[in-house]
Amino acid sequence: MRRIDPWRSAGLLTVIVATVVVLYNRSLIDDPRRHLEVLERFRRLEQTDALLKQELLLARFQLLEHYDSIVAGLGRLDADSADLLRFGRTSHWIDAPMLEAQLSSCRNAIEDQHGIVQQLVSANAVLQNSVRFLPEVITEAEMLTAHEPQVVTALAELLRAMLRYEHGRTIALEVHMAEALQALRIVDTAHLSPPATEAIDSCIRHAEIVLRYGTQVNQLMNSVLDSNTDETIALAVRAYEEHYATLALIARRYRTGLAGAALVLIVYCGTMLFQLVGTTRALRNLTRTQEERISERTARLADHTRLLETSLSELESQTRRVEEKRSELELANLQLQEAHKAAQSATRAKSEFLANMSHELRTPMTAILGFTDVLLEGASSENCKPEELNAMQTIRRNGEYLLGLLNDLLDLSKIEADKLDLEQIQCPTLDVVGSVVDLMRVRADAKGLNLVVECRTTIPETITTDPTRLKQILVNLTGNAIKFTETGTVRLALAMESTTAGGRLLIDVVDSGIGMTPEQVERLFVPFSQADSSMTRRFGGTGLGLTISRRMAQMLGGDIAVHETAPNQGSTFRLSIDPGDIANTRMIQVAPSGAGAQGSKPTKKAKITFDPLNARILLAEDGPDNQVLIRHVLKKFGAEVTVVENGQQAVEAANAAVADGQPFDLILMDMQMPVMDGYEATRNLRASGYPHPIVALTAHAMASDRERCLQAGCDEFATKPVDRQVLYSVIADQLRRPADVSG
Amino acid sequence: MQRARSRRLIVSVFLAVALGGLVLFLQWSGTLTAASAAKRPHRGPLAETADLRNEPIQPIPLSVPVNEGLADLGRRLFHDRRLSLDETISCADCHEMAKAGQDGRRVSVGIEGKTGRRNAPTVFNSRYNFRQFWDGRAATLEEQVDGPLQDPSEMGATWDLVLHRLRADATYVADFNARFPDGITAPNVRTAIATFERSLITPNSRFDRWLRGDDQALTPIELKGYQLFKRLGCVACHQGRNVGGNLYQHFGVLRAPPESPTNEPVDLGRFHVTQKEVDRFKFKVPSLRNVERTAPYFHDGSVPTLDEAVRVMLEYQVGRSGNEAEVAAIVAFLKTLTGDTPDGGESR
Repeated sequence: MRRIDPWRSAGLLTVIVATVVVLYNRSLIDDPRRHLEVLERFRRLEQTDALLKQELLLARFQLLEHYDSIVAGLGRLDADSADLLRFGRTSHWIDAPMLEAQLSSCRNAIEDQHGIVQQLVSANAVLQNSVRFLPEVITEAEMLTAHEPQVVTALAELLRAMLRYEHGRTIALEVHMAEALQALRIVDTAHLSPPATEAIDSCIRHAEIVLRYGTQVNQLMNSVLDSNTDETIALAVRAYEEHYATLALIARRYRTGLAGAALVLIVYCGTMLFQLVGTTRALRNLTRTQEERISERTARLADHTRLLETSLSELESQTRRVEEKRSELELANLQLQEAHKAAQSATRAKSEFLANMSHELRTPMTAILGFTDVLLEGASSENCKPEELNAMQTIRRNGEYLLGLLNDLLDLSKIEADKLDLEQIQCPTLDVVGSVVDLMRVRADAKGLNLVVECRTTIPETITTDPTRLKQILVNLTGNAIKFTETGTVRLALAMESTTAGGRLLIDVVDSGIGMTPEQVERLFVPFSQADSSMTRRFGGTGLGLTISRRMAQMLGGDIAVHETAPNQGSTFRLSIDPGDIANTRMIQVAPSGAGAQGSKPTKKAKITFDPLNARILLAEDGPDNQVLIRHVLKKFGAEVTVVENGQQAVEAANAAVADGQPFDLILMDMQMPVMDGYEATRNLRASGYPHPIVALTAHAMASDRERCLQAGCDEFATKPVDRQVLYSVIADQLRRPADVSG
Repeated sequence: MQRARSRRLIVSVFLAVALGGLVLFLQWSGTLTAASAAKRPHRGPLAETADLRNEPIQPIPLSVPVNEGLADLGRRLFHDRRLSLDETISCADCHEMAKAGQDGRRVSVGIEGKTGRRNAPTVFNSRYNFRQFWDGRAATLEEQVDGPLQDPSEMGATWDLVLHRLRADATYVADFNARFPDGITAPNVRTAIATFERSLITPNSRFDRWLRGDDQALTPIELKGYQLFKRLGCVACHQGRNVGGNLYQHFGVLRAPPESPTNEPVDLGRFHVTQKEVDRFKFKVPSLRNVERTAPYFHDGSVPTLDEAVRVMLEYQVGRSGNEAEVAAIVAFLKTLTGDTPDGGESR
């Protein structure tokens, strides 16, 4: 395959094309259109020249009406000769001096002729006038001189001579006319009339003009007819044709050259085309080879692909199996989740059951405790026997204990859920212990046991702890001690573990009872078990007490442990708790005697006085007992009470009061009511923009309940059974608070 | 395979076309000289003939083709006083459209009150004059423009001055640029003015109507005037389309012209141009169209009335003192040569 250098090819092509273009341009030198135009001009020039002469002859013989045609002919000759001269001067890049000289001599001849023609026309006009007028004026003169035959003859002779001269204009005729004129001139006109003289004068003048101008016109006409315009035009035409022949020859040469160059171009282009075709064919072959290779590779690729596809399908089936496994697992998971959900719902059911039970039990307890309070309020040593008074106080105490026990039950469930809320209150150490002793003394007395409190070291006057839980623990431990002791003493011994900060308060509950074997001790703190199953039959009990107590002790920062025991040697349970910050607390000592028990007897509660509230309160409460009790309490506070039975009535009553312009100062809303509960009633009121305080009342003592009430729109929260002091302060706080307009 | 075949086809077609083209080309170059031999016959009269009365006077066309835009530009230049030295005189001041294309004065008044020595000829129908000026020194209307523009006693300007002024006028610049590739130049100004002047024809005169065959166009007196015009020899010079304007003539063929009333040197007419003895006292024969409206008469404006002018002509040119009735008839005829006034636009 021969390689084609593109630059060289392009250069060569350019040279050839440029040559062709130059040759073509040169070959147009004999522009045929222009040539025809020039020839046409020459032809018209010759023709116009001939026609002009013809017209002049017509004018000469008075056969031309006007000179416009002559003027037009002169104009055309001028224009054409000027154009041709211009063409001769700018004819071409080939010098043509011969042609130019001929053209300018032609032009000059025409210009000369132009001047002659104008003079001729001018002279002819004058001649025409006289030639036309002379017969007329002669006739006029003849009429005026009719009686003078001599004159008439001369006039007639002049007219004849003039007409003859006008016909021939030969020298002889001119002489003849001049003679006739001379004959008229010498006619004696002295005796003629003035008009006749004047007419004859006119005849003479016009005859003179005819003679003079006739000669002039003759000469001018001859010089026009003799002018060499036609010759010069013919010479110019010949010069032009020679010039054109030269041009045509040159052009033919260039054309021959052009044909050669064109042939070269064609051959070159053809060569290039053939090369191109060859290259294309080679390229096509190359392409075919490439295509074959490509198809081979494609086939191989297809094989690979097929293999890959097989692997892929295997992979897919494996994936499918994995998927199946996964879906099985998911199913199992789902089942598990359902089981878990079931378990959770069971737990929830249990919690709900507990909560409901607690509520159901609390409601009657509220009544019992409340009415005992009512009785105690009215009771005094004057109108009551001491036994009756004591009985009432015992009812109250036991009621409160029972309530505490209910709380324990709740606590247990909370402990199980790790949700036991602990308080941190500063309380007198001995009061706590004393209240437990007071509580347990009834049972101790019943079994004839001594119940003694003693301090082995100085103890802090107050400690910071949860007194309820502490009492709960001590009641449990003391109860156990009493339960398992037949004779002797149950001793509560208080001591500080160490006097330094961080020391724990130790409370030993020492009994002189049946004692325990080490095996029994091991099982002691396992829930729902007692030291011996035989114990259950013998002593009863749930087996919960120690478990709860120990957990609580741990939560109070300490523990419960069996300090020392042996069968029939009695037992010592040691409770240790964190007394809190006791750095600023006075240390006290109590003598180890039964007198301590005396000092710890429950003191009668101081009669509480309240500032009257002077408020209108709406009480929404469904339980008739609580209606009576709470209305009584509120009346004691000095409030005017309206009672409704459910949430629906509460909403209606509240709105009606607002409509009357006397809204209730406060609504005390039980949360659990038939028809519409307190939550919904509160929400309704708040939704309609009710601004006045609403205090929730509920037997649910859990912390989450408070939150629920506030979310429903209540301003505060009080628990049942009603602690009147707490209730008073809550209501008083709310009444002091300005009504929250935004609700 | 298919592609290869089509390529081969293209190559063959190319070669065929190229060779065919070459053959045709050679043939063409050979026939050129033959073509030059072909001669187109041409024959035509020098002046077009029409279906008219065979009279020495011919009517002027009812309309002529005019390049309206260029004529409008020429009209504005014609009326523009900036063409004179002190911007006081325009062409139209001496060739008023309302006064039949002249000024009614004996001789015209140029810049600074200067007066010329010749009566301003009418610009109407000037396209039909064989040459321009009384002495015919300008062959064309274009050439004529230079005369009054540069004559110290007429407009007294120079082309440099005029072109400078015109080039400062945005409207002229735009209008010239729109019509001429070289914008405002002296030849283009001449062309514009001449184009305007060529549009000023006065067709449709009563005499032209008569020439076109309307026998009712002339009264008997006027017709008699025309017959006298021909018989007394006036028509010897005043003939053709413009009733004159196509030849020179001696002033005073039969009697020497009277001495000029002033002490000015005698106007020798065309002699001043050619210095030829034969041209002494030769003037262009003026057109008689609208002659009724172009008083005063003759090259020096020495004759104020048409009657007088006719009498002078009869006496000096045709050698006949016509009686009053004849003069009246000729004047009556001459008044029928008044045509429609062209719309020359007296804008300034």
